[in-house]
Amino acid sequence: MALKIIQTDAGYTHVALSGRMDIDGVKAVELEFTSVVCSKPQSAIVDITEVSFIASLGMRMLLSAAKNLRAKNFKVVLYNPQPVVQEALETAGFSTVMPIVSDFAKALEEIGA
Amino acid sequence: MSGHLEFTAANTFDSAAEGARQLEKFAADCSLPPRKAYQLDLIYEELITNVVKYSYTDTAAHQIQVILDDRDDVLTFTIIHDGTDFNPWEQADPDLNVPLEERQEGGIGIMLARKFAQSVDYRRTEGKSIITVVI
Repeated sequence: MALKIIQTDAGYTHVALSGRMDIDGVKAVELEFTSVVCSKPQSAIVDITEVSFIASLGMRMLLSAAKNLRAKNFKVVLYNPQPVVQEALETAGFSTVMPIVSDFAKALEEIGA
Repeated sequence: MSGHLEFTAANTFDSAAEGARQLEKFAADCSLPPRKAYQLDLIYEELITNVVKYSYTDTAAHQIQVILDDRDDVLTFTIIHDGTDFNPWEQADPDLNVPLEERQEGGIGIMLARKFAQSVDYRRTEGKSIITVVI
């Protein structure tokens, strides 16, 4: 699993995750992901287009970042999940706690950018 | 399509991850549809992680047996371990009707496994726990 930092200077953080968000995957990116997403007082768009698998450990990483930003009145928006990943996120009740969108304009709208 | 796979994993995360690769090959060999392959992948990861993390009170090496059987579109997944007698299916689901601030981070894995399964079962026989999931 890999983390790509697209930009952090346009008033929001924009990162992309790719690969399998399983035990090994989360272990590989968690520290850097949390540090990039949570260090700036701004919302974050997390592009998960290239994420082929997510289990509860990966969800916990996203939830924890969203909680951290929520405490500062910012959001994590998940952008463009594959259908199977979207189903897993929805089954875990994510759609009620963080926006999941497949249109980038909508992602920007969600964070007020 | 049909298929059968049995393997043992040690009670370590590395060994569990190695098992995930065997599962991936099994899913491809049985031509499982993507949704079913994903569900199997997720159920395996959640259950084996749970067993490795919580089922052993000693530091000894243990063997966890994994059995997969795909027949007539019914996929049965079984994990047998000699750890503690704990029924994962009796664990309460996290409350999904609370705001983000109050959302629990634990318990999501077993809830997902249960929701993705057609049926689940737990038995304890001769000092071994047998966890079965039909997908």
